[in-house]
Amino acid sequence: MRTKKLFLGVFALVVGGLAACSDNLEVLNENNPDLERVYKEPTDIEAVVATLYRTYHQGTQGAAEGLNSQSKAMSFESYGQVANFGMNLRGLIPRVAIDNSRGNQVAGGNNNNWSTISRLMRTASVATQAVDRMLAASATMGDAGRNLRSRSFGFFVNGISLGTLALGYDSIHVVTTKTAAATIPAFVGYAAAMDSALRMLDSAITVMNAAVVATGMTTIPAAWINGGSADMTPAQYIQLVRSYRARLRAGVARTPTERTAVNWTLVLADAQNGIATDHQVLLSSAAGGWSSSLDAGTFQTSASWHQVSLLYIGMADTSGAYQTFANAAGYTNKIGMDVLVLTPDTRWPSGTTRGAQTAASALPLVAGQYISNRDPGGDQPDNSNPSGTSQYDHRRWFAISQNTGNGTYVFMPKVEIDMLAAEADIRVGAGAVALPLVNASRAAHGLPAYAAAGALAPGGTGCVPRLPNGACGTLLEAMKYEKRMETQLTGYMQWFNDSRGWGDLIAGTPLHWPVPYQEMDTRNQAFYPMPSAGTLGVAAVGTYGF
Amino acid sequence: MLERVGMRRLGASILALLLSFATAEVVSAQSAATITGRITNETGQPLFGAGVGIEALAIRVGTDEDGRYTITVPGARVRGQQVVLQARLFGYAPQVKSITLSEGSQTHDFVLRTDVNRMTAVVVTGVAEGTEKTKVPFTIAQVTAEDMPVPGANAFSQLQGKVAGMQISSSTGRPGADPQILLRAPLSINASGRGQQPLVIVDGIIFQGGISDVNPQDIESVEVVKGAAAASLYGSRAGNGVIQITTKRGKGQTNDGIRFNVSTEYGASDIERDPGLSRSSGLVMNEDYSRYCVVTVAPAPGGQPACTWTTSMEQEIRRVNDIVAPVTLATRSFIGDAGISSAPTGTMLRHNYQVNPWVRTYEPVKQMLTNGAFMNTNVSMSGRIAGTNVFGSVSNLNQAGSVLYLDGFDRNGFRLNADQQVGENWSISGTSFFSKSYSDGQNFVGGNARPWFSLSRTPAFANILGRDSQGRLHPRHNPLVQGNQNYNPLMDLAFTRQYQEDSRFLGSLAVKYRPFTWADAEWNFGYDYATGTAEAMRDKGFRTSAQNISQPAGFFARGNAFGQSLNTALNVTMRRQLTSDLNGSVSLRYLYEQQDNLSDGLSGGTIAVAGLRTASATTTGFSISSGQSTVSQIGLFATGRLDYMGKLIFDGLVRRDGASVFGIDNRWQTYGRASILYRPSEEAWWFAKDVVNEFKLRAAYGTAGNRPIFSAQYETLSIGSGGTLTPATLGNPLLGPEVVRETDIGFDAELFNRYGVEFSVIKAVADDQILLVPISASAGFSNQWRNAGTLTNDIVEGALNVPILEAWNGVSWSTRVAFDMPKSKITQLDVLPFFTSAAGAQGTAAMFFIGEGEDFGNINGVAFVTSCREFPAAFQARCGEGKEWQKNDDGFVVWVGQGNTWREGITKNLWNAVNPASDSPWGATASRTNQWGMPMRIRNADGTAVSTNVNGSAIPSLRWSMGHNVSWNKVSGYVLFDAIQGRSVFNLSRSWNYGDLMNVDIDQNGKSVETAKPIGYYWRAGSGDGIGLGGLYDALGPSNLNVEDASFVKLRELSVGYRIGRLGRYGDWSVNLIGRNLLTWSDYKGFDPETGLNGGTNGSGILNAVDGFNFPGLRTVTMQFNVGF
Repeated sequence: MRTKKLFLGVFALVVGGLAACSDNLEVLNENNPDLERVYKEPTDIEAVVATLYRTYHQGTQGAAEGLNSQSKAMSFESYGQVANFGMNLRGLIPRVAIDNSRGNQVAGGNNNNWSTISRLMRTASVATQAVDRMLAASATMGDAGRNLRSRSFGFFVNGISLGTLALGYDSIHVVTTKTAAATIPAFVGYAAAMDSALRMLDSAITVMNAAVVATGMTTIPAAWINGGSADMTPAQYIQLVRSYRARLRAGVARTPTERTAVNWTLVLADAQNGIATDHQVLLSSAAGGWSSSLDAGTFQTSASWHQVSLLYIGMADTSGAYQTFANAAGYTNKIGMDVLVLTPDTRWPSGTTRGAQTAASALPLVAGQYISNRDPGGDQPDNSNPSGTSQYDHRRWFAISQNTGNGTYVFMPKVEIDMLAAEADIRVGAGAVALPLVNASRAAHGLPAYAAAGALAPGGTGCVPRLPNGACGTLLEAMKYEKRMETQLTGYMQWFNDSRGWGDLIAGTPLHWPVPYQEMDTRNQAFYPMPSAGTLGVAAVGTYGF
Repeated sequence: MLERVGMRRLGASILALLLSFATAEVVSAQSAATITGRITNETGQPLFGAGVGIEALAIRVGTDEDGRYTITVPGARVRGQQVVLQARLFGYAPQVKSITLSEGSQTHDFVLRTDVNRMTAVVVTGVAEGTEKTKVPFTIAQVTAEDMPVPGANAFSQLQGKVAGMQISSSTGRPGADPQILLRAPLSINASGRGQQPLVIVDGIIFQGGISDVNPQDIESVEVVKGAAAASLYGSRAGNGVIQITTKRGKGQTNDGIRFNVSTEYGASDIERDPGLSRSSGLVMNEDYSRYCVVTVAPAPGGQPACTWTTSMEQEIRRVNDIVAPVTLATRSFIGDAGISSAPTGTMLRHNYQVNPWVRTYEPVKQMLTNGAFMNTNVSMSGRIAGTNVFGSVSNLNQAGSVLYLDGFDRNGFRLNADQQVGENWSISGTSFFSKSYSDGQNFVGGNARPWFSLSRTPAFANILGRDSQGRLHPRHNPLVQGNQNYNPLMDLAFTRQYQEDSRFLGSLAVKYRPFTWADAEWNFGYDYATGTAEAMRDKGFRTSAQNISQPAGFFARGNAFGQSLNTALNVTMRRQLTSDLNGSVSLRYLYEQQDNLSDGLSGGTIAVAGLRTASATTTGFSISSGQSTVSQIGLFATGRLDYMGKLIFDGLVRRDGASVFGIDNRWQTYGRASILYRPSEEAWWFAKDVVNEFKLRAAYGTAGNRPIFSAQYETLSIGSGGTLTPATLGNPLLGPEVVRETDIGFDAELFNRYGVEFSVIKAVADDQILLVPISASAGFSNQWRNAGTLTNDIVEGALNVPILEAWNGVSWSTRVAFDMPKSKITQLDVLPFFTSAAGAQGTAAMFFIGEGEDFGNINGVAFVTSCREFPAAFQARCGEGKEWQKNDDGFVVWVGQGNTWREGITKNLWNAVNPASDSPWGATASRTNQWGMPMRIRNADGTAVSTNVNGSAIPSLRWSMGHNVSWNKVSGYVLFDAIQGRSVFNLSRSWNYGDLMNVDIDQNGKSVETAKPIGYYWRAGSGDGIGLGGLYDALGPSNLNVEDASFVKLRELSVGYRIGRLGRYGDWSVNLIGRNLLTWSDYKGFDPETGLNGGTNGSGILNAVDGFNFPGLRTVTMQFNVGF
């Protein structure tokens, strides 16, 4: 009996002892950080802030799939007949609604920017709050200037992220630097969201000014702002913030009416104090490099991905072929391939025959030339939509694509901001002030100057721009032409935002995107297509009659 | 806190149970005996390896080649008591004799009867201790070495077709790859990072990693527990079932002596099927059809192309390849080239037919394949050395595979198993195994720019073995316009060094202590250690085509992985006769498991100096990574069993599991089982004793779990390149396991002492599905793992054993048929519906729709109209024979117009016709679906193509197998047919071939003017002339054309053997002809209907039913020689 009891007793003791020992069920994840570890030290917070703008760049430029590619097809900034990235679908004429049903053909693309930029918006908010907590705890990143620089940068990226969402989507969740961690904000309209975005940019400027005053802080590191070797001064940083403020304030308008109603005085003030040179980023294929997979990547490879549509910038042509193309049988005729653009604009290839222009299109293009006339063997005609196809390609970034994604890319052209100033001047009745801005851009590319704000483009039938109806363009049209030429394949949704406000989109084009169904699902709310009942309609017949 | 309270209660219960057993009887010792005898079968043949033993004394010995045995009972244990002497051999019904154990010798012979249905076989999986199958109240399948006369290259592949409800699919034929296993039906909607594989236990070692290291010929038996009702014993890792493998041991030898067995197998492998290519083209040719026109001047719109000069394919291939530079020249454009990256006009698409035979053709598939050697050699020993029973083996498997330039798989294995009785009450068993393997071409399985992809896009005229004037392979073997796929598939194979080397150690130790007849205790420890190195290198100077311009710079990558898994358990089992008819037993167990993993990798590009195999030689594109994880788990459980006269048995189990991968607020889980068995055939009143001699009714309900992946519970941010931190998953402290609740009801019967029947109806409800749920982007994080759904499976399965002939004129013939019919449905979803892809394959993003009420595994996609009923109501009356829309010879409904038939496209020149948009079934936006004669996609009312048409299912409706064993004198034969019915596969390879017009379906040579179709019929299903006329190539995704019925019947295994016997005076020789995967009967148009992509959300190549340039399964024929001595 004693043996039995001993046997059972030993077993019970061993099992009981082992069972009570469950500490080894606590295992730390050493592969991925959590928020607590990420924001533990002031320098950790600064390290996060340092990556915010690069994430913004990657979120808008680094992904081929998103609103950027779709909007380029809708505004004919770029045309490609492949089904990837929704380009083919969004390029269709007549236009189709933006399907937002579960698993739709462009489900990933519609949600891409929403997801990445929204998450960045939250990260910027969390980082800014971490700075505030650090300040409240009297901790420091090193000095007061650095502390405030990070705070300003948080406001900046929070603001442009929110503003970017407001450009593309009809409703937006607003996350600010004060939004509590557990809060999932309700949606507001794009205009209200943009107001919040602009206020955060106001704060970014205010805080940066305070940073300068605090310690005389002198740099925004290049790694933070452009991936290059050139740091930015606080003044240059504020110019950049103001440029974004001008771009966003004007670009949010969905219709000509809304664009007219924009506070152009504020736009003018920002544009006039905007960037003094192109805002360039140094693209790099190295780990952590800034990239542009679409504009300076995929689009530079072949005509099946991208070719120049002449629908808008065909106004460069002085031969009359463009007018025939634009007016024949509406715009779905079959002659798109045959328009040979003869123009004094040096951004186009020189020559009066295709052979000559092809010869003048050796890649990489010479400085100042953006467009090439491809070898005929590479033509990609799309007879269902000839408005999109031509014998031209935009090859401004060809060298980058050939250099495996390395090179200098213009993320925000100075001319874009200048043209915003010019538009503001024109809209507030100060065309004469706009005149030199437009003429300066024209002169840089071989186009003659406008004589006066009220004049038409000089050159008679050889004028540029020459509208579909054959008339020479007004100063406003010249501004639009210049802005299109200079912003093509730069930035984010550039042509689309302008075209909807200018009333130039092809009739029936949706004016923005619905909140992706993926987001609506997370909130258990019904999703909707665009256009949809109760939302804005589609573009009406526009400036040029299509 | 709750856990701690629960733990205390459990501890108190254990103690109470232990104390109740402390009142058991004590057996006192007496004296000694020697028992000898002989075991034979019904025909008097001696049975080698039969076990004879006295269970009460824990003594068991084996018979020698003459069937003789000797048991020596130490004198101290002999007291003149009555004991039960039992003789047992797998495949025979055991026999027992009650004897009086007394000093001196006594003889007891046994004649064992064949147990065709193995009712009396002992199983050890899912039960507390070894139990006869007739007394197990749930389903456990058992496969022994005798059932596997065809040794597999892999331990699992040799189980194919042998267990009802067990689908084993070699979704890749790459030598060394583990097959995929699905027991009954999938239980996880999202098995990402976990898979749908069952828990694998080898000799008590809870496995992690692949099984390919284990030598299949070491295996003695395999037990398969297919569902939670039986697997609840294994708790949080057993939701998908359990496979327990027992390797051979030297048990049963009473005297020292070793028996050796040597077998060697040699043969070759190949690939059975070739999908075929179009052997004609639509290119414009010269007058005598010997050369092809080259575009030099763009054709006028709508006009004829300008064929100013011609060339041959050979000339063009030479021109672009035979150069000094590593990158080939750009090719010229051929008139009429409608490859995927060209832009054929509507005119071309309507009027070009692939009718001109290529001037010269090759067999690209055959060119890339070889009859690779298959060699399998095993030397094993079994017996007793100095009182220790041992089994050892040395093995080598070399499977060259069938792909040119690849070395295949090579494995060397060493095993030593030993068992030692220590004194009267103790025994020790040890297992050790080490293997080293080499596998070539780890990643040459699928994906773009990989050989099978490039091969699938190689046209019939291209010679992939072609070489230039310097003897170098042509990188650009195909000058057509196809994007980067016109790249010689052999280039990667020949010039990329890519391999994986693995080392594996498996070890286990078990110590048993049996101090009393009513109780025993066991401690065991299992250890699984694996290291692996993978390396890939393309040297500097690699030649390539222009589409891969960065490749000549070369790259190097190397990764290392280390993993270990250990488990240790302490178990005590107590038995007691409660009444004269009622026996009870209780088993208590503590189990600790831990898995550790480490990995690291580095890679770089642009190799500075050719020939250096080091990352230090790379100069660009550096990448480094590493990771580690530890998962630990504690299990405490108690099982109880009541046996009433062997005919009414109750079995119950409670298990409490704590696991580190559960959320911190939900760390402990409870599982359980209740099962009952009733054998009315044991009742006196049983009316059909002569007809149904054995009838067992069983019902079991049990729960088991599936754990989350390591990182699921944690809040995580990802660290991107350059240190960018991006919130990824929101942590979930409440995350728990998927809990599978299974009910298994069925019966086992034996009729006329011959025919065996097994039948089960199973319902498995997998609650708390672990899903990666998207959360609002405004939260910053993108997803959170949550328990949020239920997957319900209904399965019917059964098996039939039929001994057709038993010793009829020396011929024996038996057959076994097994089948199962699984259904899987999402019965609850606590999140909104979503789509999942097939392992991320292009075009499959919306292939599987996850919604409440949906059948799991359904393949969604677009559909071409095949029935007038699919039209809007207003158009149905206008559709049918003799009407405006008719069904053509491919089964598609096409528009032909009033007064026409679908046969008149050429004779009436109708292919140009277009039905006005206003008269089209789905309105203006779909107007181009009404091109004459072209297939149309089913559309919604708004004109958008329906993308959620159910085109098939990845889960078969029926699986069955039929095995035959035949023997006649010294000749034996075995044949196994294995079949899947009702499973569909998205044939991505074929679909993409339509894009390049290379599929054999598109070859119009030999067709009549009535049935011939222009290339536009097959080309893109786009909505405009420039991008297709509405053709069948459907922009990558699944459709009702390319989702094919992949039902098949395979001649899976064949073995014909002849036992030679002694040669001279030596050995026992036999020779076998062996075939594996010999023949496939299927309408499937790809290489192999048994295909799929591993991994992804579905976690299984069985569910990811996509034929995406996969390595086809291998067919192998070998000769095997065996000798035992």
